[in-house]
Amino acid sequence: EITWEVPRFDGWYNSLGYPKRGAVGSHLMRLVPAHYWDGVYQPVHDPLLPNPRTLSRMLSDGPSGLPSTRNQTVLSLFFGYHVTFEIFDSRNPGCPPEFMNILVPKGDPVFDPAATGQVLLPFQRGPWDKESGQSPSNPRTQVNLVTAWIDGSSIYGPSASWSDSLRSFSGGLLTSGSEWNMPNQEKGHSFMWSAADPSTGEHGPQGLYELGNAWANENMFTAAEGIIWFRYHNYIASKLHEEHPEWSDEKLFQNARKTVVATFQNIAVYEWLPGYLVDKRLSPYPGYQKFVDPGISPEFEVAAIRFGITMAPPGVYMRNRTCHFREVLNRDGSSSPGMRLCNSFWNRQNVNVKTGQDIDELIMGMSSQIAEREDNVVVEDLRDYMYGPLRLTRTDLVALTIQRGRDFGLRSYTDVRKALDLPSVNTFGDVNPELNRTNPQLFRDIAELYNGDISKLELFPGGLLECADGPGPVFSAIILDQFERIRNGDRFWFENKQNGLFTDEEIQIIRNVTFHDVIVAVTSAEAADIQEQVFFWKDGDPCPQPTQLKASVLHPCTNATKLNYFDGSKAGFGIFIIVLFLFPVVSFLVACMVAYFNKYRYRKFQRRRKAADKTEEPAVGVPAYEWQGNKKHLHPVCVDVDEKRRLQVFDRSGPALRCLNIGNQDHLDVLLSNDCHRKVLLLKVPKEYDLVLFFDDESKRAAFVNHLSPEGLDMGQEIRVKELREKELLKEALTKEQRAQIVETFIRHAFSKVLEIEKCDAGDMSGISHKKAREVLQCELTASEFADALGLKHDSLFVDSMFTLADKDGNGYLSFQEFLDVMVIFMKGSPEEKSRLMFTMNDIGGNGYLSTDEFSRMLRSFIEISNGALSKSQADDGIKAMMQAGGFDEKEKITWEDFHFLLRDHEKDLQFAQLNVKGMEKHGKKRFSRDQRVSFICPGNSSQKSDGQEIRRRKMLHIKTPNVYVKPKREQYIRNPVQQKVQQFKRFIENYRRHIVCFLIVYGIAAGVALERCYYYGLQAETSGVPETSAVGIIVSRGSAAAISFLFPYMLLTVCRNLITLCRETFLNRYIPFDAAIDFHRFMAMTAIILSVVHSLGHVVNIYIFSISDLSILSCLFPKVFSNNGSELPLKWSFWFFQTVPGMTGVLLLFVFSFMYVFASHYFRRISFRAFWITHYLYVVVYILTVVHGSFALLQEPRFYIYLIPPALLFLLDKLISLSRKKVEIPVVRAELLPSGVTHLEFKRPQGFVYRSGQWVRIACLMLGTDEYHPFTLTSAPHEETLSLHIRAVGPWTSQLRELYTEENLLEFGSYPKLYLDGPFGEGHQEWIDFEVSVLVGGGIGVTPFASILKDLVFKSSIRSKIQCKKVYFIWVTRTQRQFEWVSDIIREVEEMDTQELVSVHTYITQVAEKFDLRTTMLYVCERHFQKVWNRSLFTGLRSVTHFGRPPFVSFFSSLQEVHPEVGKVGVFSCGPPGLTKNVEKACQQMNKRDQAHFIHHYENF
Amino acid sequence: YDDIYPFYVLQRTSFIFSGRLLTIILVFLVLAVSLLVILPGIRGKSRLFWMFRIIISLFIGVVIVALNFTNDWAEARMTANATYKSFSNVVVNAEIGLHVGLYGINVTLKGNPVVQFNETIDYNEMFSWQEPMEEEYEEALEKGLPNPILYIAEKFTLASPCGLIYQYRYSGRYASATLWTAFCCWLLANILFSMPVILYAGYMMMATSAFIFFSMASFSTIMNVPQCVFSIGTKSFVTEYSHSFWLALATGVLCAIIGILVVLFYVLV
Ligand SMILES: Cc1cc2nc3c(=O)[nH]c(=O)nc-3n(C[C@H](O)[C@H](O)[C@H](O)COP(=O)(O)OP(=O)(O)OC[C@H]3O[C@@H](n4cnc5c(N)ncnc54)[C@H](O)[C@@H]3O)c2cc1C
Ligand SMILES: NC(=O)C1=CN([C@@H]2O[C@H](COP(=O)(O)OP(=O)(O)OC[C@H]3O[C@@H](n4cnc5c(N)ncnc54)[C@H](OP(=O)(O)O)[C@@H]3O)[C@@H](O)[C@H]2O)C=CC1
Ligand code: HEM
Ligand code: HEM
Ligand SMILES: [Ca+2]
Ligand SMILES: [Ca+2]
Ligand code: NA
Ligand code: NA
Repeated sequence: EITWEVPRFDGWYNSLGYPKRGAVGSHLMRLVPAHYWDGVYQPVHDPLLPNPRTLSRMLSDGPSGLPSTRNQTVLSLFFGYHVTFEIFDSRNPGCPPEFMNILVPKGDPVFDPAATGQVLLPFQRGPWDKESGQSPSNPRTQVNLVTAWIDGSSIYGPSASWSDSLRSFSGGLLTSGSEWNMPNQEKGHSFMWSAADPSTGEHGPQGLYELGNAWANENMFTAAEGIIWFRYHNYIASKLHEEHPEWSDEKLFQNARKTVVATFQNIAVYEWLPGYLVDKRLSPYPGYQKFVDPGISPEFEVAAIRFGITMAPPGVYMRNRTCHFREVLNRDGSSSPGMRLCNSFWNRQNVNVKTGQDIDELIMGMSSQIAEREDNVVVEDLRDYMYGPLRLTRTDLVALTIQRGRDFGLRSYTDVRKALDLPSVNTFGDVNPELNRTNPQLFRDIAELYNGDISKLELFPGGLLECADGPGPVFSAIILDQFERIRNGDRFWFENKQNGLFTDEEIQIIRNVTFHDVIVAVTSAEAADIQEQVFFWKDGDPCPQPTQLKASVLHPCTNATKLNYFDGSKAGFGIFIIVLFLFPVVSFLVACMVAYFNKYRYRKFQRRRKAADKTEEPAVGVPAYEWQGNKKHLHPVCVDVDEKRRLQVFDRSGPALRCLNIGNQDHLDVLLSNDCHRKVLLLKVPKEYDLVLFFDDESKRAAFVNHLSPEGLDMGQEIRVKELREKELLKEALTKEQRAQIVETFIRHAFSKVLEIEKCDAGDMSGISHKKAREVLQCELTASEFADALGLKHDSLFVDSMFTLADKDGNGYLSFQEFLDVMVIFMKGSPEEKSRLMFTMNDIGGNGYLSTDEFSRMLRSFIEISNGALSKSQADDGIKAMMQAGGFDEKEKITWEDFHFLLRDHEKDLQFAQLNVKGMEKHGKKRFSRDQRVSFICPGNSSQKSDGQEIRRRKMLHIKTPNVYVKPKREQYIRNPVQQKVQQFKRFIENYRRHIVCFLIVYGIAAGVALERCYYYGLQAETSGVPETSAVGIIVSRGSAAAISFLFPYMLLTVCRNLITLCRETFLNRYIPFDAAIDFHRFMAMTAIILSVVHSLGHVVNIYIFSISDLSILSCLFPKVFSNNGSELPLKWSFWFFQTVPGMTGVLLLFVFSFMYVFASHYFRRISFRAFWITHYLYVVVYILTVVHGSFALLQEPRFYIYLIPPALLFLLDKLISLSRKKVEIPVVRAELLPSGVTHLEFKRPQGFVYRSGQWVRIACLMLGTDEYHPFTLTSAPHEETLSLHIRAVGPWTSQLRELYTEENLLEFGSYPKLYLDGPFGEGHQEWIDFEVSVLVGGGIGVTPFASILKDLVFKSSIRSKIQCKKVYFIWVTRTQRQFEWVSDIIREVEEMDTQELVSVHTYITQVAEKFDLRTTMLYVCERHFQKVWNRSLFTGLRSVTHFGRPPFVSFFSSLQEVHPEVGKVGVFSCGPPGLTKNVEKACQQMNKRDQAHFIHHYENF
Repeated sequence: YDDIYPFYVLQRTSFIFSGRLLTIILVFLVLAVSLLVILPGIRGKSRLFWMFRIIISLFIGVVIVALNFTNDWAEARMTANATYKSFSNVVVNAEIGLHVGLYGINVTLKGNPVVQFNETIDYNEMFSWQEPMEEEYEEALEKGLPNPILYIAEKFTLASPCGLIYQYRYSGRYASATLWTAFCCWLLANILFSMPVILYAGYMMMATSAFIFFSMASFSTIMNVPQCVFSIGTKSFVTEYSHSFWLALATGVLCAIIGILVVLFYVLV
């Protein structure tokens, strides 16, 4: 076994006291304190010191071909160079990357021939200890990456695993390559430094020799040195193996290593060094000095030892044993006497040095060749053609050395001199008086560069100037000191007898081994082929060199090339970015396809249905398609002109759509298209919208035109045909919609005349062109438009008679004036006028009498308007009864007087409607009574009360004395647009306070986490070097990533439907607007997606910068991913996008988002909810990808998953709740589409479903996904058998629902889609039972709970269940009544059942002028005029009182106290928008301050 | 003390048994005991069934969590004569082990016999690659650990020509991440089992097994790195999958079987 301590490879534990001494990674040791510009780490730079390149040219320019004065050989030079690799390496760039690029003076003949003044010689600062360089007492300290000991680190590598990778593990040998005497060449994986070859551009590790010295391949000659030592190890090992065949590989290896290292120590220190230094001698070995530190001094490393560069020749000879100097092949095929130095850097396949034999010849050549002179001159191979990075493949070694001195903070030449106790120099000339004599100009120039200040002269220039025959006194002293320390401090030094390595004899043997012996042992050279002292060539030695090599006889240096790393990537990168931006376009196209497919399926389905229907008779007339506007489908129709010259348009399935009387026009305007198959026809219809028909082909159109033209000439009707291009024709057409707009303006203007509503509120005329305005005034209404305006059916008798009456000129249209006249009478006329109007209206004959027929027709028309729910016979019976009661049954004719009298009469005993009711009662049809209420036209002076009503009225009068104060507050409508905006804004803030606060909190947190990252990367993360590399990109992308990391996960909370439902029941609802969760979801998603795009753009910038930053930078930024092996070339942009985890997942995420986004857009969600829902489930992918995205920890440890865990747990819980919910399908019994987008659903009450009025349920519709539950208040009362909901279509889900329950879908599916029911929830406003008097306030959609409550209340009172309740005031606040027409049905129902006058209903319509529509206005008008007398609403037929304006809560409440003085507690229940409930609350508080009845308020916000 | 101060034995702190591992096992044991205590409340055959269910489920859970912290996903060991320490030429005969976990490696050195040259040779050193391995190695050097341990740890530094660490770090990282995902799936499966949606529980069980397999797949990528020579004295070793890896396989298969059975049961019944 091995009996001595095997030295470690990394230099550790050599020193007894301080184990790290001389080890890999140990500090350099300054001889003199550092000199930094800031005293800490910043280099002294340009203006203070001369430009390094200028200095280099000044200092070291000169001719090549001058031989060493002492005949040192080139072998000595390269041996020395190899020794430096043995003891130091600080050439790897430091991290984070710092640059001290050298600006080349403008017009430099080598680097800047074009005089751009912008060429930089790249220079990156060396590695240092991160703990140093932070404060002045510990300025930056560089580190050494190999062992400072001469311990074979350049032969075996600086670590155990390095040596393992060189070993063959058999026979103690190092692995050899193709030849037994050549080292292995690298294939893929590399640990050798592999820069690019500046002369050929070759790069990559292939072909480099694997040796212990990482930099061995820098030039062929150093490689040859390395190979010699590699061979020597194997030589010794083999010899040992022969001597001791029983030894194990390990023993052989360690023994060989021991001997090789000792030999190397001996040759380096005792043979090479004395020759290199001129007269200085090493002191004899004093024995191991345990307190000596071998630390390399920066003065030695970057100045003194680099003295060698002056001896470097421009080329190197090769010769064989017989002194034949080889003609060396150049790349271009020519040959030269020697291998050019500048073309031998980083060679992979050097044609001249391929085999072991070539190495031998190179070594022999070097031993014969005399080095360059030891002077200030450096050959151009190093001064102008030193290898550089690919960005600029040539550089200046002298300038770099000067710059490296500044990087390492070297003190000046004079300071070092002083520190070394050398006599001081005072002038530049004193540095080298000898040289000053021969070349005074040089010193003058240098002095000028340093402003004549000798104390500024740097160490390297000073040392170089000083040398004569060899290094001058300063350099010599530094070098000597260094080697002495290395030798004396080394416990494993071969002469140290204490380490047990060698016996005395062995030491002696080793002492006698020279480099000559080594070469002879490992090359084909025999002892006589080379001189004994290989580091000198003396006369008489074998094989003198032919001549001192000059640059001029050698192959010229290839010129510098520049490489922009991004060249060749620009196009690809650009295209890729464009493709990224095309993602949304792709998904948009897909969405369009889905939409198209949906439509196609729907149409096919319709066609199939049509085909089924087709069994009936084919429609008459010419088939065509009616065009109704650009955005609408062509509607298939049949057109026909009948004998009365009426043009009729039929739906293909039968019913007539339009009927135009073309007979009464003196000419017809027909436009025909003259392009696109000539199949369009436009028939101008005055005062109506135009008829535009698409025919199948031109012939059909011609046939129709024929059909149009009158048969006989006598009709005299002319057809004016004009031909146009199809596009223009369609533009010309007045569509139905355009017409409707005109009509609306028409009506508004008509009303604005009669009402005190100001004109400008009626509709903005200012925006309308003069032509339009005229159009409006000339506009005439058709009967159907008139019906629409009144909200009645087209064929109703009332409309018919009213229309005929108003149409004074009988042209079938109502002109502006005609319309106005009727309105005026209705609104302003006296009772007589009104009854006259009614009379004439029904006097069809116009003879001044009403026939019985006509009279009954009139009555029928009233019945019709009110509801039309009576069968014909019932109506007839009713009318008969009425006529009898009026005593008209025997009269033939009824005069106006009779009529008027009748009405007046009924003032006393009968009432019109009452008549009706009576008649019904007689026939036992009481249940229809509510449908019978005729409440429209009512003579002003004839408002009558039935007996019952009389009593009631009297009662009311009785208690009227203190009446409830219900007069509305009608605030002045604000007209000033600015004030309007302010008002709107105030209202907005008021209603959305909670939203705004929550919004601010969420976005505040997002901004906070984003800023934290921005701050971190902007200011704190200096040491990583990332921000310096791509400041903006990193800050933007990391900041946005942080915000995304917060937004995406916490977005999940907004879709936790079950938890939200639970929470909105708690006090939290007062602070968090749970109902707006989905809106929040949208906001957060949109923000997050936008930020994702920002983040990606930030990374695009980063990736651009990464792909132009060389590997040394990248390996600093991403030490866990890249190791710097000198190969510079950064990874391409495509690597980052497609071969890194964040890149790939990022691109995928963008793709997914574009789909989610497009399908989630309002438009596509409406078109295909399913597609939205399916693409939306990609959220799972998003979360997975995002977690994976960060998992690689390229820039920082992932955080996304930390953000994700809490909300994901809650979301999961929520999903589990959904999963566990018992799902029962509930069939829908009845579905009704009510006006204003309200859908009324009635469905079976599940078994055991118990609820209270005012509670709500959550339903999911099976067709719309089983998971999506929405809350709706039950509008049925608990006693009813079925449940019912009134659902207003406001958003996607509710709209979809409404769509589902259309007739068409009913036909398609055969039955109504079923529901899932969950609930009931909510407290329900049950406490009204406990109050004698309650006030219920419903605002907007907030009325729904009261529907149920009122029904329940009335029911309970009717069955006389025990309730305290004596009076309930129901106040319904709504914008326009039109919004909630369905509520009136419910109220009517309640009124109907409410026989005890329990409920008093007040409707407040808040926006008459603002939301101007005819019906509301009519209501307004009629209510104002007739309510007082008639006590019923005109349009709704409700008993409830309609007010215009907002309810005056305070006055109302205080009047309540007067009305019910005995009541101590009043319950107030309100439900509606927050503003409203807040006002109620305030009013209650105000009332409660007075010491009277206590108002207890409960409220609910929607 | 009678004026005699006690002698505080300064124990060399070396890695014996992962505290975390101990905690995990204890937590699960407590869970198991507390669940098993309520078993007597269940009657008849279902008592046995429940016992099995609880034990199997807890077993899967504890395995999944514990696998994150075990150090024997892959192992290599050998007995060799190795140089032992600096400033000495002694060569010891010892068993040297490399134990690879998901977060780092353990290197063991156990003398053969344990006491040689009056020294107790029994080391178990943890090197975690969550912190920079370079620093850990430097610390180890400063600490002066025995040569074989330093030798092995050095192979896992960034600067080592082997370049093992790049692959090992990511393999372990993703293996552990997928393992935690499997754990989440296991939790979910248990929740789902106690809800009337057994089918989903079956799927979750299959997901659990899938993630365990992914974890193994991720870990197995360490075998792709070019073999790095570990040679001490005259011997060398190679890493091979070890207990944890096979335990993961077994657990994965168990989960898959349970999942498939449950799904089949649901489909057939
Ligand atoms: C307790 C309660 C009772 C309700 N009762 C009725 C009712 O009787 N009749 C009626 O027409 N409407 C009622 N609503 C409102 C109704 O729930 C929403 O209009 C409906 O959910 C809108 O869904 P959407 O997808 O069509 O519209 P979206 O465009 O998604 O939403 C429109 C608005 O409705 C709210 N909303 C959306 N989804 C929900 C949800 N799942 N839960 C709560 N709010 C939501 C949002 O705040 C949003 O501002 C009630 C709401 C609540 C909270
Ligand atoms: N989620 C929310 O919190 C809110 C949502 N909305 C949205 O607006 C739409 C309409 O909502 P809707 O429920 O119909 O409510 P509206 O906004 O139409 O309000 C209903 C009635 O309440 C009146 N009102 C409002 N504020 C007050 C107040 N402070 N004092 C007295 N009366 C008041 C309104 O009068 P006036 O016309 O004078 O304002 C209106 O007549 C809905 O689709 C909803 O999405 C609206 C408000 C809040
Ligand atoms: C453009 C942006 C988006 C819009 C407009 C949008 C809209 C919606 C809507 C309307 C719903 C609920 C359906 C409903 O209740 O009516 C929803 C649900 C949901 N969204 Fe989004 N969303 C967007 C982006 C995202 C993103 C980017 C994610 C996640 C990464 C996401 C995750 C979810 C989740 C998890 C649900 C609940 C699904 C469920 O309950 O099963 N959304 N989204
Ligand atoms: C091509 C596009 C993208 C690129 C190149 C990219 C690149 C990156 C990179 C390099 C990181 C740092 C990860 C690390 O330290 O290992 C990162 C983090 C992140 N990125 Fe992206 N990204 C892209 C798109 C996206 C998108 C679309 C999203 C949206 C979800 C996103 C969200 C995030 C998040 C949330 C983080 C932080 C991860 C964490 O801390 O766990 N990125 N991205
Ligand atoms: Ca020279
Ligand atoms: Ca007219
Ligand atoms: Na060394
Ligand atoms: Na060395």
